[in-house]
Amino acid sequence: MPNKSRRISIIGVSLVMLMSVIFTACSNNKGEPSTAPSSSAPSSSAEPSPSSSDSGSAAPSAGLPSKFDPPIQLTTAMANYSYTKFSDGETTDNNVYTNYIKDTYGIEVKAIWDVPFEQYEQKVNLMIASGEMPDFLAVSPSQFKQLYDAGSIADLTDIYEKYASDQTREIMDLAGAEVLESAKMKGRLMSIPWTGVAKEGVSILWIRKDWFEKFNLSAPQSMADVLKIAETFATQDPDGNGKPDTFGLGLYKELSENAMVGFLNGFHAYRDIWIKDADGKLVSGDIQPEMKTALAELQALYKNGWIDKEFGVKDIQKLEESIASGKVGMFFGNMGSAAAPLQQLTPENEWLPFAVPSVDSEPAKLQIPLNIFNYYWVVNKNAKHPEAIFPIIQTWLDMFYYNTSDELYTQYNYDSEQDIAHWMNAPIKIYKNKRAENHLAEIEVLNGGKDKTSLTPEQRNNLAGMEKYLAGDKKYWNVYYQDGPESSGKIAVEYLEKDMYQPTQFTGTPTPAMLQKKANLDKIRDQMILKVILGGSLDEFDKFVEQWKKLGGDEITAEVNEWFASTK
Amino acid sequence: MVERATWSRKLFLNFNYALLAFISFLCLFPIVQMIAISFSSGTAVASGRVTIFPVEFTTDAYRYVLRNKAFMDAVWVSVERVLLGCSLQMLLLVLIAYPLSKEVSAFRHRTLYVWFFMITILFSGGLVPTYLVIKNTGLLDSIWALVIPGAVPVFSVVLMLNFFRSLPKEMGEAAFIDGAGHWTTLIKIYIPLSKPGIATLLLFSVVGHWNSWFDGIIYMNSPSNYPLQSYLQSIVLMKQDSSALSVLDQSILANLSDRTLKSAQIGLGAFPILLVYPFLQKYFMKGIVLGSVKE
Repeated sequence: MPNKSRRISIIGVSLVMLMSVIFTACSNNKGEPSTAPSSSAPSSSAEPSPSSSDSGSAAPSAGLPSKFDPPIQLTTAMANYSYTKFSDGETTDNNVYTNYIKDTYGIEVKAIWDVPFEQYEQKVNLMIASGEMPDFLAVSPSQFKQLYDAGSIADLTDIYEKYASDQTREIMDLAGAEVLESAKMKGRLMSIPWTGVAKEGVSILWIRKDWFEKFNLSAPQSMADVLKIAETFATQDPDGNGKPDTFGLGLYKELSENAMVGFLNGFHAYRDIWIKDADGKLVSGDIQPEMKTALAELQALYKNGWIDKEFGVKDIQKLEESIASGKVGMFFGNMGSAAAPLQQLTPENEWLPFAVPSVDSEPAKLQIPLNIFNYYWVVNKNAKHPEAIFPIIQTWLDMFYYNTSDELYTQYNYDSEQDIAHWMNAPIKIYKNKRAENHLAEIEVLNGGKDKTSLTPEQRNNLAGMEKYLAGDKKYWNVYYQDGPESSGKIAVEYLEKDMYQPTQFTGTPTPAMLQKKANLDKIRDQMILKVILGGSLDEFDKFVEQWKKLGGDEITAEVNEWFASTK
Repeated sequence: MVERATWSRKLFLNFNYALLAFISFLCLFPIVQMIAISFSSGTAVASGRVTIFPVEFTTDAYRYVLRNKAFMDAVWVSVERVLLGCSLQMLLLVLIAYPLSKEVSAFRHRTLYVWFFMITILFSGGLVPTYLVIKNTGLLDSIWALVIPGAVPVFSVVLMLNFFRSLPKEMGEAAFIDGAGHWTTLIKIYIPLSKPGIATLLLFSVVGHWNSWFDGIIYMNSPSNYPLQSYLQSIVLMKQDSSALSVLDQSILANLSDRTLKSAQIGLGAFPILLVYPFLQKYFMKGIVLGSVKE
């Protein structure tokens, strides 16, 4: 009996061990074929990029590559919003965009996976760690650097010169010269930036129209006016209920948002960006004396009870509740605030947009981060046809920005009847400012200068809204104040024309000291800001500056200037 | 046993009830409010007028959600996952716990086997190695990636093992004397007697499978294969990127960020799991082994 059980146990133990060995072996077996091609392929595909270089400075744009015949296949990874984007029967690999690209350019795009934006970066990290990479995909700045250092992405310098369309180049220019520059490594273009709309994401001052008219106010010319309006709104009982229950300026706990940043920019204070000082050196905006001035004003507002005593713990939803219940009549928002959230919050009350005024005679400059939409488009070094990304970009531009047909709009952009956002299926997207352009085009038609057919469907839609507003349907006030003659669109034009921007001067990838210390520095900065506003001594600011320098700020500044010197 | 209620005892009881009622209110309030929000109109919610009762009652949100194919698909994946995952877990659980519940004298290498399982509680491979294992074993993007990695819940094995041990050993021995083997003893004696334990662990298993979202997001290649909680996670935590705002048609995003819609989906997501409790409740009574052995 003991003998038998012993034998069984031994057999059992060895079975377990054997099984673990088999599993390991299994995984090895399956693993190899997937990693092998990536390591053996470089020799076969190394030729296309260098061979096509007929000295980069040749006349720009020979245009897109001709249709691939037979069709080629490219793989990618997709990131999207959680929203309906397919009609019946469509999939990630079979939808209006993939079909159009296949039929027009002979390129089959296959997505190896598709994930919501929130998890995208993590998923790419996992993918990079597992040694797998699709032909092209969007990566974050630090992943871009990592992939470049690992030598796994293709040099796009020559193919960009040769194949990028004029419209693509135009969008790169519009985004700002530093954007394309940031996509270069050692002077070679290693990615196509996913250009953003930072220039139209800057602050706009929104003021409730009925309160504005009640006190016969005029457009704020300086920050002093803004403070005066705040006082009026907080103390003169704008809602007429006899109770001092209104606030002068809407603010909430997220200090990185326009509500806060807009106010700071009015005082020439810049949060979290790098600016040039008088000597041409780069310095952090966080520690400049203008920040102290702005904080002193906020402190005064807070002390008088003109901003919500609880703003430091309130999120945007709480601010929106205050707006909806008629307690807040002025705040720094963005160019689209009228459509969302104001239209939903106060459907009957109109709001007026104003450009951010300045504290002195020098016009305010609005800070903008590096103008990319979080990502860079990179191409796998082993991709056989890196130039194929340009027709894919062109498809996006043609369908999303330059299309003037309603039918195509429904088909490729947004189907309002079935509520399907087709545009999310485009394999490559790059964004461009469009508010200023929309405003100008719509106004021209509104004034009778041009025919409606020249407009894009979106512009036509806005125009229809404005016409309804002018005809007396006040429900469309949001369209009117975003695109009409006195709108945030007009301010967008003004900002662009006067170049009222303060772009961050540091556009490189995060430096070593930044990776290590910046998170902590940001934390003590935001703590200091809140402390000062809530009534702390202004010396807190000076203390913070000292601390900031000691805790790595000086080190980061040195690195940033080193980077800056290397770009000249 | 009649209790003599002194005034201090009464005071204590009343205070106790009040405190417990307050605590349960704190637990229930968020859920009640969520349900109220899901039945209220969007403007009422945005202006913060909804507390416990719906304001401007509407069922629009539910109608929208039930028509939403993505949501229904996700529910189906979750159901599939729970059915597959829980039956596999319970099967392996019992099969592992039974031999490990024996004494070393009856099962010589028991200690080794116990460590073989326990070690996984102490150490794990970490995210990337685990991902590589899933990828290289070809499980990626299939329902099995959600089921197999957690197929042996070691902690539950320990609980089950102790439950088996708490049963009188003599009953197993009696079965052996009557000529039953291990299989018969397990199936005819141990399992029927362990219903309360199994029901509890089944509940753990169902709740665990229903609620986990991270593996779905990591192992699935397309949102259409997400289980419900992964889908909800991606909806509820959606970034409100102001730079994206100006590109997106804003009415779309307003639609998406709608709190009533989110509440309705979260509520519907929690509903099935609430249904499971009453059905398992009756097994929570102690297993009746009293009097089966005369000592």
